[in-house]
Amino acid sequence: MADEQDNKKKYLNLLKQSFGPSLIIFALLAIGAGLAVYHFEGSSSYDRAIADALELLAFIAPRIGAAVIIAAFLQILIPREVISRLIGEKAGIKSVFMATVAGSLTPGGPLTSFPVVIALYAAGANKGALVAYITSWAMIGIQRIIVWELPLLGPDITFIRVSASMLLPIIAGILALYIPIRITLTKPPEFK
Amino acid sequence: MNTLTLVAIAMWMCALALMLVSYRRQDGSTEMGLYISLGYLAAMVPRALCAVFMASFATELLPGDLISGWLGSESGIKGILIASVAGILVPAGGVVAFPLALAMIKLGVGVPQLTAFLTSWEVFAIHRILAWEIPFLGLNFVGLRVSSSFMLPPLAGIFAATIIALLNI
Repeated sequence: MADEQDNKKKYLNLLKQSFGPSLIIFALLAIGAGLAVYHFEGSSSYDRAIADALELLAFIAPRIGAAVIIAAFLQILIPREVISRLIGEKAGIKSVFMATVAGSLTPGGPLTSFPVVIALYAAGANKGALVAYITSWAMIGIQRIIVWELPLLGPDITFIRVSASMLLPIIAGILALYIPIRITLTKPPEFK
Repeated sequence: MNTLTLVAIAMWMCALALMLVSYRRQDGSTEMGLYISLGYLAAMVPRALCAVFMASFATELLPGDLISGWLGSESGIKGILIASVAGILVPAGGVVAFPLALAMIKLGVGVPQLTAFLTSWEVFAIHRILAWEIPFLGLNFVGLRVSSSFMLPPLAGIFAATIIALLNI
């Protein structure tokens, strides 16, 4: 199970990174913002902000568990090969459409999606499909919707935003087919 | 029971269903999945904590009247365009963008304007272009993608406004 070993190593790295300098900077920013509220807006504003934040945390906490389980298991249960097969070597606008569906279904962060773009290119996908894929993943990726948008913004806003965005990756992909920029992709630098 | 509670229940049912599917495979994917879940959880919790406090401090600090004036639901196309530009300026992942979006809702930003803002961040997130897209896919690809997507954020905002008007939400 070399694959499993590989995965474990990847997630240990992820874990190490997630407690790196970016978290410290983020925490310092939050503390700084808190001090600024206390200093410039007074203690009643500060108390109100803290109360708001605690209320929101109580709201998010029970949802985060479900969200991480969904994200993790989607990533395991939908292998990359299925996604590549969805686009295959279809031509023109049909491939743009399939790429939009595939992009939305791709779980995970840039670490999963960008290598798929290279694999698709190697498999002969056209540039419209590549643009549609990455746009769809960024805009209507199912994982980000489940993990962040639904719990924080609620179903109404999520519904409006997602339905407003559903056609956009297709538009971008079709446009990309006609934009005269050549692309050549090579194997990426190894991720360490 | 309100819709948000229903969504939470649906999320847990979805999570349990996925775990059941992987359990029935009997191929070690359940263990792997739980392992990854824990990794995600450990990565997310401290960030989510910071983000939530950040969002509520931002609600107090940001000039509410100014923002609801520029980006409120009355601000129309002009607000959508401003929001589209603002989205480019968020150099961070979902952990920052979504709490910021929440703060914007609290300050009275309109849903079409918010949609334009989030779309613009999703398409043009500068940190992702620099850290991932240029090294992996090259400048030409970024150029192709940006030139075929630059009008999407305002379009998303206009579509959102249309949906709201059609469905009377």
